[in-house]
Parts: sequence; C-alpha cells; structure tokens
Amino acid sequence: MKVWSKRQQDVVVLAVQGRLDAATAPLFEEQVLPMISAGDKNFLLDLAGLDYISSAALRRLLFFAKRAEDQGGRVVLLSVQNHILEILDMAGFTQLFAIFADQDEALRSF
Amino acid sequence: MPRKPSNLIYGVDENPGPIALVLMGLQHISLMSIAFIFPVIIIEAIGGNLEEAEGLIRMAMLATGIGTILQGINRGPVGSGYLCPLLNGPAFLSASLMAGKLGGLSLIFGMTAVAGVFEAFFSRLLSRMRAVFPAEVTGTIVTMVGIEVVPLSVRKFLGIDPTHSMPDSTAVLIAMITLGAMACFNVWGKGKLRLYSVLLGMIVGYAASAMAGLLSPDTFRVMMEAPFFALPAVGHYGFSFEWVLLVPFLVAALSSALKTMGDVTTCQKINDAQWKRPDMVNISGGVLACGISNILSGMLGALGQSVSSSNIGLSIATGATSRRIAYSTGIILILLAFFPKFASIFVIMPTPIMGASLIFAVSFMILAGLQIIMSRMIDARKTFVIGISIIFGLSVEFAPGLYRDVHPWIKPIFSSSLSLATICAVVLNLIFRIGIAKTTSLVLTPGENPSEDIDHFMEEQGRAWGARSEVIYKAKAAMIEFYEAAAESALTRKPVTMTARFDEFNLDVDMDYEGKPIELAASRPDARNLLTDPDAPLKLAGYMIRSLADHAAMESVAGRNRVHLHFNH
Repeated sequence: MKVWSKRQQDVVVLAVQGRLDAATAPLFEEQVLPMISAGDKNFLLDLAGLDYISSAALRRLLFFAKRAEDQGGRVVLLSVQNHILEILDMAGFTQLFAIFADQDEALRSF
Repeated sequence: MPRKPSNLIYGVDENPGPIALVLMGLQHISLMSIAFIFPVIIIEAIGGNLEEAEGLIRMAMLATGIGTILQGINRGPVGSGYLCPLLNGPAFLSASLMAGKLGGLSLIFGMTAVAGVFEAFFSRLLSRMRAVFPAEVTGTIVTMVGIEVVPLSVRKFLGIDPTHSMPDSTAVLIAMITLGAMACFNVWGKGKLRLYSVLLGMIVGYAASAMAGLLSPDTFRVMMEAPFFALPAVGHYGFSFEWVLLVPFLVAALSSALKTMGDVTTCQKINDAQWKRPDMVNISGGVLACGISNILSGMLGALGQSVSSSNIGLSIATGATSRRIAYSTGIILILLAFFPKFASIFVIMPTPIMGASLIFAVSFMILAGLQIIMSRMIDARKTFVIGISIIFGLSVEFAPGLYRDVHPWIKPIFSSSLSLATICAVVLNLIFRIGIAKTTSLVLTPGENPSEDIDHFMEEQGRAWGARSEVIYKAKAAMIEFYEAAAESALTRKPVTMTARFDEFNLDVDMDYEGKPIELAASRPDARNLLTDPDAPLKLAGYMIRSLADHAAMESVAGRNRVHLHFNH
C-alpha cells in the first residue's frame, strides 16, 4: 500500500494505491494522522488505485474521518472503483462518506 | 432470465413491427447474398452452366430460408431461438467440390443429407460436453468465426472478383464510401438510422457505383431476363452416396456444428447483459436446427448450410436481434426462390459493396469473441490454448498452400482457419487440463500476514481454473475478512485450513479451524458504532462474509468449526 499526498488550497489530496487491510491500515494511519495533528482537517481520498479494502481497514478510515471532523474538517472520497464501492456499500460506509467521481466537484464540496 | 443489454434496440423477444421486419429481413439477405458465390464456384468446378448455377442459388434461398426459420424457433428441441441466419457457407465447400468432381450434383446432395444426419446426432451429445468448451475455447472459436471471413472481405473491398484479379482504385473508393456511410449511420445515427445502417450504406454504395459506371445495363440484363415466377426444381438431380466421401462430409458437418456453437454462443452473449457461460442445451438446439437444415438441403437439392457469422455481426451492429427478423428473413428468402426476377437483384450486388458490408459486420464479430475470451482470468495454460489455436488458424489464411498435401479425408479441417483453430483449441484445452486441481488448500498460521497469501493463492487458482475475476475477488475478500476477524478477535490460535473447490458453475470455500465460532450476522451493525462498540467489528466482518458469498453457513462440532462459503459462477 502506498499513499501520495498533495495540497490543493486547504484540502489535502491523498492518493491511495494497493491494498488496505489489517496489515497495511496502520501504515496508512502513520502517514495521515500526523497531518491532522499538524493542523490539516480537510482530506480528499483518491481511491482510484485502491485494489481492496477490508472491514478492519474501514474501521481505521472511520477513525481518521472522526479525527478530521473533531477538528472541524471532513474526509470525502474520490474515484471509487465499482468493486470497492460494493464493499463500502455493504458495510454501510456510502452513507457516512460523500463520494465523488470528479476531483473539481469534490474540491468544491469543502 | 436473460436481461436485455442497453445497446439493443430490438431484443430477441421483441417485435419491431411489420415494416421494420421486412426492411431488416432485406438488410440481412443483402449481406447473405455474398454467399451465393459458393454455388457458382461449385457449378464452375464441375463444368455446369449458368442455368444450373441460378437454379442452385434459388435452391440455396429456399433451403437457407427454411433453415433460418428453424434456427429462430425457441420452443422444443429444434432451434436456438436466435436471429442466426443460415447460408451456403465455406464449411462444405471443399467436400462438395470433391463430391461434385466425383459424381456430380446428385452426389453432393446425397452426401450433404448424410452429413446433416451426423450433425443432428452430434447435437445430442453437446450438452454433455461442457468441459470441452470453456469460455477461452468458445471465445477463440467466435473470434476465428470473424477472422475466417477477413480474406474474403478484404478481397471484395479491394474489388477483386472473378473478373478482376488485382485491386481496383474505383472499387476501393466505392467500398470506402460505402463503409464510411455505414459507420456514420451506425455511430452517429439514432434509432432507425442505426437500425438500417447497412441497408442505407448499401444504397449510398449503389449510388456511388452507378455514378462510377459500375452498374451498366449489362449488369441489369441478368435481372431483366429472369422469369417473374418459377417453381424451384426440388430434388431434380436426385441423390447418390459414396463411402469414400463419408469422412470429408463428416468433418464438414463437424466444422459446421462447431461454427454454429461459436455463433449461438455469440447470440447468447449479445442478448443477455448478465451472460456468464455458454448454455449448451440451447447450443444443442441450434446445432440440431443446422443438422436438420442440411438434411433438407440434401433432399431439396442445395449445398450444405452453416450459420452466417456476418449476419450475427450485423445484428450486433444494428442493435436488432429479434427472432422475428429470423422469421421475416426466412420467409423473404423462400419467396425469392419462387420469384427469380427479384432474386437476381441480390446476385448483381457490386463487389466493393459486398466487401464494405462484410468488413462492417466482421468488426463486431471479432470483438464479440475477444470479449468472451477476456471474461475469464487467463494463465499460461489458457494463453497457449488461445494463442496457439489462433496462430495455426491464421496460418491457413497467411499461407494458403501450406496444407495442400494433407490427406483428402481431413482436408476440410485444414481448408478453413476456423476449423483448424477450433480443433486446436479443443485438443489443447483437453491437454492443458492435465494437472489442474479442482480442489486445493491453503493452511494459514495465526500471526502471519495472510492477506497477500490468500490473494496470491486465489489469483493463481482463478487463472488456472479460468474463473471469472469478479467471483474470485469476492471469494478473496470473504476469506481475508474471515482471517482478519479471526486473528483480531482471537477466534483461534491454531492454523486455519482454507479449501477451495471449483467447477464451471460453482466456487466453494471451506475454512476449517479450532476455536470459537464466528457469527455470520444477517443484519449489518451500524457502521457509526464501529469505534465505540467492541463487538461491532466482529459482527461487521461476519456480515461482510455472509454478504460477499451467495450462500454462507457455519458448522461447529466440539470446538471444530467450518465456515462454508458458496459462490455462483
């Protein structure tokens, strides 16, 4: 699993590639939670390169979103592939996260 | 229940209305008319005259008209129920030439009827031969069905015919205008324009041909001289039989049956948005219709028939696959057999228009085959089955004289890229099945990172089995979900054995372990409670496992647990 980050105004765009599961989710947290501690609060998670996500990783994702919300920000999802969307929907996460197909539209939502 | 794909204007069960049925029937016959060259080739080879050639074309119309209707029947054992027109294709050409030279038309007709009986018999065995025809084999056959028509299409496109041995620039220009018009009507046209894109393109092509002087008064003389009405000379030449020709005709019948298999498979796929695998019972009906049509061909006095791939390509391109079009096409063909003046209209079609129509239809056909191949996971075994078959199939087209000296009995196999590719694919598939375990296991020890192990294990097996990637993905997800939950919630501290079993219709996974059972929750816990309720993560994992599988069950006896997951394939 790899995470690339770039800043678009006051939003941090995080591109996640590979698999997010019980083994890799802690690595994801290690990279993103310090950003919240440093003052970032709005995150756009680009999941176009995400191959798989397990419920254990979803829980970490929820924790990350909760932390961002606690700071007055939010986490939204971008370019979710169909098989990942099916898992998010199954777990009830499509009701918790805003999901966008277009990056500009996603950025405007903040 | 098949689901109509969104790209179809008239699906297989729909009724386009009488006017559309007539126009689309004519559109199909226009494309089929290209095959009227085969009776002419036979008559020329045996030293017959023009009258005999015209008679054989009219008998072809009568026999293929009946065959096309039989193929469209969707009740009872005969017929695939699809728009799958039949014509006097190349499958019987080689065998018919041998018979014609040995014993004239009566021997061709007698042997064709015998081949039809064999094909009908073979159709009854097909439903038990599912393992012989997995997706990569049928996909290769369908691809080759399209590729086989390429040499003829390109020659016609370049204006090469019995009177022109070299490409002709005027013909190429007309062919480009015709193909361009067909493509424009099909890509940018809506509704009726797309529906009749081939017919409209042909009209543009005829107009261009007239302006270029390709339609001279001489061309129309054939039509003017033909009688308005005449009864077809049914059974005029009688029948005869020759043992020495039995093998070539049986091979031709086998080629025809395999071609029908590929074509009916394509029809199944283009008519069902949720198509997964060939329906062999339906294919049996299609091959039986083809066999009966060949018996009729022999009895009436026509050449052997097989399904027309080009016409299936046309139905994909126009988005009209209604079986009623099969009936209208068949009825018009039968009528044309009685009205030679109208029948001759289809015989005078300029060569470049034929070429453009073929290239248009064949494009769709080849893509349909490639889509079937890519619907499954591919490993080295499948790569060899597909690659080697296509390479040897193409060798027939690239080097026509290569198999000149093979024994006459098996010559039909080597006379067609489709037949050779099909035989290669079937045989290689059977060979490469050796060593593929249908049941396989993976033992995981707690504490290790299982996610990648499970991923590699299932990916490798999926490719070896030729499974659909989405089914393997769901199975992997459920297995990883279970293992992560088992480790995190300490359901077990001992190894977990994961066993996967596969056949074409089912993927079953058993996960055996000692320890506490997992609850496969029927209802989803509230995702918002995942961070506050300590039981919620395990419940969610159980719910996800249950939801990912088509059927999930938990058995627990004296501390030994088995999670059974079933996935429809």
